Amino acid sequence: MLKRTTLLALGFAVMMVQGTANAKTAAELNDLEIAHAAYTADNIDIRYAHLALAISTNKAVQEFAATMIRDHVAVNNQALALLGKLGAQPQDNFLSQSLQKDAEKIIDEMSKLRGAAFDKRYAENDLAYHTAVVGLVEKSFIPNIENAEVKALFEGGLVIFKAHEDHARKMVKSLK
Amino acid sequence: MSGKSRHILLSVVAALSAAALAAGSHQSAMAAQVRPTEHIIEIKKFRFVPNVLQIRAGDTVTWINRDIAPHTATGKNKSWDTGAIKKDDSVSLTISPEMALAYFCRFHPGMTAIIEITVNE
Repeated sequence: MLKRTTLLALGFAVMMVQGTANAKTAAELNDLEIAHAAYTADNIDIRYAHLALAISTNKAVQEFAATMIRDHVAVNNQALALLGKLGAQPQDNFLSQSLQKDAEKIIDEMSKLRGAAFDKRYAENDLAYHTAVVGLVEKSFIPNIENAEVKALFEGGLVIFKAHEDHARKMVKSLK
Repeated sequence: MSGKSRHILLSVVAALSAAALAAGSHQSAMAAQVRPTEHIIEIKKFRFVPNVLQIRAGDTVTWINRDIAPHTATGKNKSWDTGAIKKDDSVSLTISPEMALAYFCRFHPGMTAIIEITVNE
């Protein structure tokens, strides 16, 4: 159970939806659906980080969690400001729902852990999560976003998510 | 002290300035010939640009954050810190030789850079 990664969960969720009658892939989402999925993904990582701040006593883990909250809130604020400027509302979609559903399970699972077991699981999950999000943003979102300002926002976000991925990788290594 | 640009003068610099004033007219004349310069370091794509900056003691360095994520410039030994710099905000510091010249972003420790102080002529 502990070895299940967010990367696999996310990939599985996308494949499941692709197999239904109303099949839709991440690459087919419109700009407003992409914005909703990204906003949802940011909020999920913020929730993971708040859980880490509540449970972990490891200074490095707490500092990482604080950075996740600070950065993802900044990204979401930029996204909301841009959507406001464009007079647009993000649109809920299958990917947002899949992300949310998976996150609930992972939060339930991590909430039961304490000490080093929690730290390890949180770090591994955040590494897998950022790896999955980087792939999604880089390969499915950015190439398909039509609005130039929305695309620029995602390009800025991608730099942040890659930095988080590197940071999480180092944290995973240091906790072994 | 808030807004787009905060200028932070360190007490060390004030002490150095006072010492310079007391050092006699010859040195004062020389100091007058070497005016402090302002340098800009942009923070973009999680990098300090330029990554290595050469300055003279007493010059001012301004960090401007172009990223969405907030950053800091923090001395390696944490003896100085710009505090959080939000997107498109800036913070200026006057640099003295006593400051740790290797620095990093406290929020993203993988971001590092160096200020080099050259000898005043």
